[in-house]
Parts: sequence; structure tokens; C-alpha cells
Amino acid sequence: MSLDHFQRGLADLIASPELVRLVRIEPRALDYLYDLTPKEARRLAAIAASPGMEANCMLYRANRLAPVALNLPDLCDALGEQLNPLISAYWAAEPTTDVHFLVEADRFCRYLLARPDALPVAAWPALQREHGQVLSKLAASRHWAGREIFKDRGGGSPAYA
Amino acid sequence: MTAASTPMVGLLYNPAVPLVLDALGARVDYVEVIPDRLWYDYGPQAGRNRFSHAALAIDELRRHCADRAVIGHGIGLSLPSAMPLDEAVLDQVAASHRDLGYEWYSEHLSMFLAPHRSVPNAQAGMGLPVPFDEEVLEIVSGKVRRLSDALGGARILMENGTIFSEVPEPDMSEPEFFNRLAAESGAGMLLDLHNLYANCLNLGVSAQDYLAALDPAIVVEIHLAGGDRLKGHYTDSHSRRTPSPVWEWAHEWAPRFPNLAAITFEYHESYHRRLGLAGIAEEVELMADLAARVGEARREAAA
Repeated sequence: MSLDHFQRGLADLIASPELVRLVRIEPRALDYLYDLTPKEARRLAAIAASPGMEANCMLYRANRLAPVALNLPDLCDALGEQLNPLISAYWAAEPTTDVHFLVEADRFCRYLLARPDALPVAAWPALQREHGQVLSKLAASRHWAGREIFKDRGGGSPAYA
Repeated sequence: MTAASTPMVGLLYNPAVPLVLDALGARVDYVEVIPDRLWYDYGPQAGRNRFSHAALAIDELRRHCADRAVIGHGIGLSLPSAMPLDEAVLDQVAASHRDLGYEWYSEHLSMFLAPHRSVPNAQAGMGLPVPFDEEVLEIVSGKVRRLSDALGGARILMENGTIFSEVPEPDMSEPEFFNRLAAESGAGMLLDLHNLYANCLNLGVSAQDYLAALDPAIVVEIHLAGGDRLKGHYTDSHSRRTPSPVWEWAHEWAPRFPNLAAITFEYHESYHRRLGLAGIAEEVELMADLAARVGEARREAAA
């Protein structure tokens, strides 16, 4: 079954404008990256060439930026023009997101901490302070981990069957 | 659902909705709950500590569900993905159903989880289009049956998505896919008219052709919402009130769906201030008018 490779390729495309540009120029690149049927390869190439790809890539970036912007606002300010290349590099290294905003913010912080030379000196205080806040919130969110909160009330009988 | 009944009207639940429910009371028949927002998921590597529930939010939700119906609307199972269902997430969805008692449960006909990823619970970043092929139909049908079993036989609905790029060379059209899915799995349809509106603007889809191709009997719920323009595209951002063309389609088509049981307005909590309590209340009143019209048409037809 190659549907999984098609779906992976689709997810890779919306996460990478660079890959979109490559496939638009050279659709055969898909054959080196994924195990696709000829029809799936045609489909991915057509999607990459479609006008909607710009919106796909923009929405992907907006959705991935949200947890960072919401939880690390001072760090984003402090990074200034460095935010775009740094977060783009992070997204390239980690193309999938985590639905948990705090986990996603923590992942970005850890990515930066592992690359101290890439980080502007002026951004360190904001990184350390806001990463600490994220870790505190994460610890609080784990308060109920492993404990069952939902109560068995019989599930309710579906009214529509 | 009887032939002469009037559909319910409700709101997609978000952290701002309790303000609306306190103000509107019984004018909102139900809340539609996204169970994935009721817990933090730390991924399979966390073992028995994988899920940590938002206990206070769940308590508040229970308070608002006490005298209202509840519908489940999930985003985390990604039924069209070419990978098995995440049984641990499924267990949580089932536990939430045993607690809250969903009238039915819906998921999206979009891919949210990407196969072959290294990050547990990895999300593609947005809902992605799926090929309307026999292979995907078989995958989704099987998962619909499994999901229904896990929820004690509850009805499952699948929602049409909003996309910016179509998957070419499909085996069948999107409406045909929904019709076949209903026949093969029993899944009803959650018809998101705003998603259809976005696809009309972005892809040139004909709403009339799309709606006419659907088996009217499969539509159980309608979603309404508003969106934004984004560099020549239109997004389903849940940021505004329902646009006029969507209302026109709703009034034209809703009376033709014999099993339509619910009409839901979706908005994101970050736009609560923009919409305003008065604006949301007006949406609820407009939905109630639409539901009453559907009920009246059914009673006339039954007489």
C-alpha cells in the first residue's frame, strides 16, 4: 500500500515551500522521496502546482506559529528578524506539530537551547524566562495525568439511530 | 428523529461559550463538544500518564450540559489516514461519551495525522484533502464501524472539509463518496455549508451541483460559520458570522433533508469579542428560525 507515502508526501509539501518549488520544477523528485504509484505521483505533482498551495503553506505556518506566539511573545519580540529563519529551520527539522500548545512551545525552546550559537544574545533572557513559564504550566497541566476524570454515567442513549 | 420534528440549534463549545449559554439559556438546545480539547495528550511514550484531563473545564462543561443535549465532534482520530486508529485516544473518546452522553459523534473527512512521523500524536498542521478513492472509502468505512462500536453503537457522522487543492483523478466525486460511505458504514453526514462555501470560492465548486448530488437522507447535521480572505483565498477561520450565500443555501436545502436533526454555529473563542454576544445571539435566533421552517415543512408534508 502506498497511500501512506502519498499522505506523507502531501504533509511534507504543505510544510515546505522549498519542496513545493522543487516539485514544480522537477516532479520526478517525488519518485526519489516516496514509494508512489504513477497516479499518486501525478496527484502530488498536480497539488504542488495548484494555486492553492500558497494558502496551504501559509495556513500551515500560521497554525504552527500560534503556540509559539501565544506562549513565547517576548522571545518572539527579542528574536526580531531572526525569528523567521530560526522557526523555519525548526519546522524543517520537526515538520509535524503537536496539538498541545505548551508541548509545542517547549519543543521550540529546546530546539533553540540546543543551538546556542544561532541565538542572539539579547534573546537569552526572554528564552529562559518564558521557557520556565511554559515548563511550569506543563507541570500544572500534568496534575491529573493518569487519573480518570470522566465518570461512567451510562454513555447516554443515542437519540438518533 | 421523527418526520415532524424540528431540528435542534446549538453551538460548538469553546472556552467563551459559557458566557453565551448563561445569557441565552434554553435558546441553545445543545453544545457540540470537541473531546480532544478536554485533555492534554503527552503521547504514547508517557505510558499510563499519557492523558491529563482539564478537570476544571470538564466540570464547567458538565454544568452547561445538565439540561442540554451534547454532541461529540472530534478532530484527533483522523479516520482517512493510512494508519490504524490510535486506540488510546479512542478509549478517551469513549470515556468522554460515557460521561457526557453524546447524541452522536462526528469526525472530519480530512487527514490530520500524517503517517510515518517520528513525533507521537504528530499533526499535519491542518486538515488535508483526501483522495475520493475506493481504497480510502474502505479505510474510513472500517474505522467508522470501529468508532461506533467503541461508542456503544452511537451514530457516526463525517464532515466535509475545506481544502485549497483538490486531489485529481478521483474514483468518485465527494458527494458520491459520502453517499457510498453512508451505504457501506452507516455514517451520516455533517454538512458544513461554510466549508462548501470556501470550496466554491477557492476551487470553483458548484454548491448547487454538490448539494443536488448528495443523498438527502444522509444529512443529519449542518454546520454554519464565517471566515476570512487570505491573499486571494478564503479560509474557514470561524471568525465571523455566517455569510449571506450560506444562509440562502441553508434555507433552500435544509427542508429537503428528512433526517436533519441539528444546526450548529461554529466560532473560535479568539473571535468572541469581534462577534459579540449580541451577534452570536442573532446567529442563534436565525438558526432557530431555520429550524422552525424545517419543522413546519415536515409537519405540512406529514399532514
